[in-house]
Amino acid sequence: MIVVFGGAYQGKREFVLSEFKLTEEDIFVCQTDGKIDLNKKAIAHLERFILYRIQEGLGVFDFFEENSGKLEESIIICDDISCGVVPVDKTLRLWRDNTGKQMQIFCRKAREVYRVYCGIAERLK
Amino acid sequence: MFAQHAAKYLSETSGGVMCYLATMIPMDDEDLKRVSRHIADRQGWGFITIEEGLKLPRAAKALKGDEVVLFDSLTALVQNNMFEGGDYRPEYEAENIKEELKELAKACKHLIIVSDCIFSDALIYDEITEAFRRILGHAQIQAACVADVVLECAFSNIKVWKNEADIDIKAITDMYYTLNSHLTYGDI
Repeated sequence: MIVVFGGAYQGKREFVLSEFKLTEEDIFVCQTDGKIDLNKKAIAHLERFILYRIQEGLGVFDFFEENSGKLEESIIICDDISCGVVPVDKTLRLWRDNTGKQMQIFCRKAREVYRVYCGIAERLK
Repeated sequence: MFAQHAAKYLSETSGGVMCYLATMIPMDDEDLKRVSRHIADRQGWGFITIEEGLKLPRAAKALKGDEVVLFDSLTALVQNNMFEGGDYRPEYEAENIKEELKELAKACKHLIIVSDCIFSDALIYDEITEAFRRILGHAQIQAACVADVVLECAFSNIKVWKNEADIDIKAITDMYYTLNSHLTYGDI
């Protein structure tokens, strides 16, 4: 697994396309509708998928644990939503918390981890 | 504040004139107070000031070429253009920002661009705020492309993302930390 994270609009997807020689077709871009294609080479906006699971009262960690085999070679792209004020809204608070915890799990498993800032990528692992 | 120290350092090492490119267009009393506070912050530093909150080419024309320009900030410039005249302009996409920044950089000795990180919180924003985040993100990536040096400043901690100009970042941070050792709670 490879993990790429960073703030919104920092150029994460462009970095993945260029660094790993992918095309847009290789990337599944999550919306907030719960859909995800684990067979794609890369999954972008993981945080949106997690938000849907929380809004619908579905488990987050169990889902990824059950599907961990399919994600072993995936590139996970996720917005870093951890740096702002803790939201008052409970759903958003859970979203921030669960995204953080899931990303910690992914980063521990990943062989490569990158943070992208202003279009510049730094390899953390 | 770190950027002011960077401007001072570059001015001292290059002989350039320190120039503050002020971008805020005050809309209310709070803005006016912020402008007053920024002016007070700069007192005694030796900055000349250019006020241009909308069009970077106009700012470039006002420069003589020997300035170290502290452009404060890209955030305000994007915001001013998105809401020029008080109305939201959905057509503004900062599409020429890269060329405009190049032009501005060419018109002076050194250019320091200040921006803000508004990209990492767990909130769902309305369409206009989200557009603001998107356009500022785009503008920052373009600025980072144009720049020789990219620094992230978080709680006075400096992370160097790019330094292709062999600028002595440590000398600037040392100066910054020394002169700010008196900072107390409430200083902003």
